[in-house]
Amino acid sequence: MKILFMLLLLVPQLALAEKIYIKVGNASVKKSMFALPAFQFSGSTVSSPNYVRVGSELYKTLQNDLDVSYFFDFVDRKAFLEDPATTALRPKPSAPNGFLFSNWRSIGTEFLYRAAYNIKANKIEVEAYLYHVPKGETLVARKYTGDVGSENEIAHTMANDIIFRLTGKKGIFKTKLVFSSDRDAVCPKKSPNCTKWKEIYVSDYNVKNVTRITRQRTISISPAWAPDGKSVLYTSYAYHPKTKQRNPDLFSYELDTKKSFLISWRKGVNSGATYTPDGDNIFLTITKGGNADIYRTDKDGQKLRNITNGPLGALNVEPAISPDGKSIAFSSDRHGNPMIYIMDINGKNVKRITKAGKYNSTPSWSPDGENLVFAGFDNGHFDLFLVSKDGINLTRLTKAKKTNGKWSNNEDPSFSPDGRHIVFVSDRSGKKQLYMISPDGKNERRLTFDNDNYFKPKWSYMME
Amino acid sequence: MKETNEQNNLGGFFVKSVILHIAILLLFSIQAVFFPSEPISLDGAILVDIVSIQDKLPVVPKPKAKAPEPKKETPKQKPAPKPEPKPDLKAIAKKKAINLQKQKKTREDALKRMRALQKIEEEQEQKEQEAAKQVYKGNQLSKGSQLSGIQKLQYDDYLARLESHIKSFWSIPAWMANLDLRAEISVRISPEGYVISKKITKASGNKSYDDQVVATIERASPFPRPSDKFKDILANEGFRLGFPE
Repeated sequence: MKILFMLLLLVPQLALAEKIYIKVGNASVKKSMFALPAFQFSGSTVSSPNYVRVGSELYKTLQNDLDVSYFFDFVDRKAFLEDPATTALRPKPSAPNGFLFSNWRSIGTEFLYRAAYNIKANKIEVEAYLYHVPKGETLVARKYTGDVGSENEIAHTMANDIIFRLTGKKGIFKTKLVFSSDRDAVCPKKSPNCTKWKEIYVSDYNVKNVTRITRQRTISISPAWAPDGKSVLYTSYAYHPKTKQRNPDLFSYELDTKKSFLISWRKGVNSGATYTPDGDNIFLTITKGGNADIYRTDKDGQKLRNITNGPLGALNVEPAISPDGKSIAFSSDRHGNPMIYIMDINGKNVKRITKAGKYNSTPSWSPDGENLVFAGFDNGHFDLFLVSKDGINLTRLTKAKKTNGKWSNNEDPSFSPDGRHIVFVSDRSGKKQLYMISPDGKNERRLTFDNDNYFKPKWSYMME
Repeated sequence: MKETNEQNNLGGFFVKSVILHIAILLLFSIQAVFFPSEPISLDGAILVDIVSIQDKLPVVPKPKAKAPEPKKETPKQKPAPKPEPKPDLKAIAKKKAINLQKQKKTREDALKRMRALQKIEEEQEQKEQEAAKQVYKGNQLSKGSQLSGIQKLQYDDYLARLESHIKSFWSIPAWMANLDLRAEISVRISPEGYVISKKITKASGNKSYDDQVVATIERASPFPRPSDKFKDILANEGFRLGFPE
């Protein structure tokens, strides 16, 4: 009876206690300290004279990848308390000559990466370990092999493994870029206009390992990836012997066979093409009778069907298919200035997304299908803007001055397949160079350092 | 001339008015300095329960029905210590010749009586408790099932301080951001604000994330000291935290 009485008295307090629930909200984010000592060479320096170059390439590529993830700060080598060149890759006591976790813990290391490589019969072998230092836990223990010359690929794989182990999500370090550039435009004596030549190139995400895939000796522009990463679409001003004229035709290039196929060569522009996410159809801009409209064809360029239809004289260009394949973002000047619109995949339900600015173009979807990044003309120059698919939360991502003090143009954005980066073109250096940036406008990073021009980069889908 | 007179009169009134104002101001200043009023204590305010508790009046007849019983019983209680069995026993001891059956009977009778008395006592106690349970205005200062007034303000204020305190310690590594994880932890803290216990009540599915949540609680200790009114709740029942919600 007494207990019951006590309980009755407690009831109001219990009711109160149950109500104390606090939503703490989003965490502040901090980078983790990552120790990346030089890789040990475990082979014979006599039989592998290129070991220094191979080791340095592996190391530099991995370090750059980890840096680009923006997850880590690197522990200064001067702070190391032990010499990674003389301690084993495994910790004590399992390895007699092993390293001590305490030596790394005391200098604030959260992650330690230890690797050694060997070169045998033109093959690189890497043995690598990722440790979580505070817990003394092994997170990754793997061996990698590849031909000499594939150092970048090996290092990208190592970086992807680290990212996947930590986040459970695939890393982007083996994804590719395709872009148009004038970097190989050599002037033949009889062609003073040669500087306008642009070819199509494929490269690693960091614009290393660049391969030219066209040799059209003309203007080749607007490349786009097939979802399987095995082919790219591009538009080239191809010469038509019958009419003795050049026409911007749509081609497909197979990376394995190195062959180009003509997809669409209707008179006028055949450009701005993109595959649907299933790879079965292509959406592109075709000008018929002076009107630029968006059309759908199958992947062989057959079964043409128009998706937009005017109004008369209006441009409907640059289709970008949403990741779910259900809608198309595009730019159109149907209401005056070119703006970003979204419509259903069949061309119905056209909705205007951007209202501000004078000229908004080149939309690219975030992989989650929630946002679009586009280039907007504002105060005499282009900048990147992010907007939700509902047209709200418009944010400026770029703003940079050229060396002459004038505002630079930042345009042609394309999302990375993990949604954490955007590649784009900026002329802030005086030339149109490739850069990347995070979707929150932070972490701007220059990718090319030359005197050439780059156009319309497109980030591939995940390659594995 | 008239005008100047009026001006003079006006001037006179003005001067008087100023002197009066200054005098009143001085009076209040002196009162404020030398006879300070007692500060108003919000903390000591009496909590008035506005919850509909019945008036005392209608309750009175109810205990009447029960109250007479204990009244009748209490006199019974007094004769209870009557050492009835004792004289029996003494008599037995003196005479030594009375048979065992009689002895037994008297003992049993005594026990019966004692049991009966005990029962009455218990019943009385029970009734007293029931009577005490009857809540009527004036006999009870409950803590209130619904927080209101000052206590509600204090409670909200404390929760807000608790929330901002934890938030300032809540950080995760960049690689853990955007993983769309959620965990819930239950924490009890001492009256001084130190963590007594912490337990993940809903795991995120990612151990590293749960570890970060636990580490955040460790870093955040000591928490803001709860006021006397909440310290028991926070020490016994604690509170739950959702990371991030």
